[in-house]
Amino acid sequence: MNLESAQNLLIKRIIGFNPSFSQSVLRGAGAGVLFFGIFEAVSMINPNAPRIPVPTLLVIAVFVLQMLLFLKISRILRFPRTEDFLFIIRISYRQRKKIAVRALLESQKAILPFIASCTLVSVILEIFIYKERELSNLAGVPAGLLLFTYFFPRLGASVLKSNLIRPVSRDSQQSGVQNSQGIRIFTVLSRFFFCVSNAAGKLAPISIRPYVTRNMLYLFRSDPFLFPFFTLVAPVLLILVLVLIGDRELLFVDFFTVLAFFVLSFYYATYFQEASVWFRECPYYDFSHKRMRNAQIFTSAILSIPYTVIFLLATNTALLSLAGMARTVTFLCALGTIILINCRISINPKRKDSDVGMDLALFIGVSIGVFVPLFGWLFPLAITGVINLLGWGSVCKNKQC
Amino acid sequence: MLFELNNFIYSYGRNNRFQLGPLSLTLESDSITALVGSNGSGKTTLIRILLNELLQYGGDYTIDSVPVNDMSGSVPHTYGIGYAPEEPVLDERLSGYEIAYIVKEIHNIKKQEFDIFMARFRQLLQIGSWFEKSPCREYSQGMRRKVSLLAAFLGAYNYLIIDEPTNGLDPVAVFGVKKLLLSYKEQGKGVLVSSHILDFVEKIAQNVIILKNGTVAFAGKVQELLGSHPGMQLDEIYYNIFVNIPENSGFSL
Repeated sequence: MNLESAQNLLIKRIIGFNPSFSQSVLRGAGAGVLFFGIFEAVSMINPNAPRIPVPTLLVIAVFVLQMLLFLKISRILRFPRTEDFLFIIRISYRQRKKIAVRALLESQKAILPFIASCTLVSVILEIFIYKERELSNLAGVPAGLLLFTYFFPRLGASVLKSNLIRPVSRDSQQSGVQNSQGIRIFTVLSRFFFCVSNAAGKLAPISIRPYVTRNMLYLFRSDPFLFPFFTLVAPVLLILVLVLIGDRELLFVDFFTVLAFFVLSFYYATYFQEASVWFRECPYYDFSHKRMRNAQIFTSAILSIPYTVIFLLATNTALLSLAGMARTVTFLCALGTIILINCRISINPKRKDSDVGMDLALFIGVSIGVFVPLFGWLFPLAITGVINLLGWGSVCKNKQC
Repeated sequence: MLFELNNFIYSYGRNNRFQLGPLSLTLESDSITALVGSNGSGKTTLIRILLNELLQYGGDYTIDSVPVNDMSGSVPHTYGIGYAPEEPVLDERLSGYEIAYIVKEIHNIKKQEFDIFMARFRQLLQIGSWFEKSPCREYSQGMRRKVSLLAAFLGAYNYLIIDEPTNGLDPVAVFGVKKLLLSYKEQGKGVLVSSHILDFVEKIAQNVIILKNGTVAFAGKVQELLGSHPGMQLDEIYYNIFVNIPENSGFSL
């Protein structure tokens, strides 16, 4: 089997069977008729049934689909071991990147004609059957949809090509066939990361400011695409969840906010763990256990600012009472305790997989407090005590700090 | 700044296989001192002791007459000692510039001063765009050495300790390092350079400490050593010391 056919086989494994252009067009036309029938025509017969214009429906569907497809394809770069097709593990980062880019563009070849014909058919049906005359509905949404379908995979391919998806550690080995280019980012992006990190560092006390800046830079440099992406997307998703919940009195608002930050903290903790080892090793840093811990706590605190703001905005009127004040204190204590849990994860170099259970137990303890009126803050405080009793298992244990 | 070791002994390995000392040394902060010796003679161990990285030793070690054992905090940062180890240890995910900036922030170096130093350093060591763009994990041996030296110079507002500074550097960069070391010394600051390149040592150092199997074979002025062996180069003298002089011959400072 030559290289080309091996690559084709891998692409087929990742994105499945790719239909030809005419097949995509025909299927799109069929789907257009079907969707129009289900989501629009029914409302003509039964006025109580909701009408969802097919282009609008497709906007949501395509957005979710493209996101999932990108994440699935980018997995072969970041997590090749999770692929059930073992051959992927053995090929180099550069080859996997090439395959991922091709897979993304191949998928676009099938999706674009499908979406175009589906949209076209549904728009024609809307004009002739639904008597739709609104230009924005007929042209605006479909045009936006087609542009998104065209540009998103290309943008994704650029992200993959530009080494923004962090390779696995084995890819970075200095010898053997797995050697990769590593993450070399554009100068502009590098400057942007530097400015943001520097600005974040300014929020910290002077004694640990350089280390907070360094932690932020480390996060950006470790995962230049996914770190900013998750950090931006998580608050947006949280806002959507809070909008769906609607009732600001409901304590689920607090719970989901705390949960979102906890999940993201878990993601940050891996990088903090790595960063703490280098902090100790590099001779030009003034290492001390206390300084390292404080720097991590402040970095996490800075990353928690969006969640505090979202919480305060989502619950503002509900906070003007004694119960409201207690609720705010509980929320802030919960965030603080999650920061400590995160810190405990990241400064322990001998951490075992089974420790995740302990971290989850600590989080459950914190989140129970969120549902307890007036005295909920006692729970995070108790968990803080437990964290101190469990010990920090620091990177500088038994060494001079 | 004055480092003093009196009747100093440090041993390690199974059954204390290697012993550094007993030795007595004084390092002052207005000159460049070269530390030379064969492989395994104890150069890096001595440097690590000076930086207070190795603690279980006998005898006295003081900095400015203060016993190092009584100190809290790290010696390099308390006394403004810059250190570049033999194998550069760098924050692998950050770029060279980012490391330099963080070191600048740690030591509260003024922006103007930092910019001037950076421009000079970049020019002398021929640092290219890789310095801002790529993370350290992608650097070659020479690039890593340059970043390590840069971080050491930025942190060395009193003293500089560098272990094998020319390893992996091209001739232009070696010349640049020489110029940087000499101008650093002209500011009244001291340097301890461990090196195997005796030509390099002869050109920059005023003092030399020659270690042989953990003991001091010679410690004194380079000119004194050259004067006592007329017509010989430092490498020839070094060879004679290692071939002819028996261990523990009584040389001491």
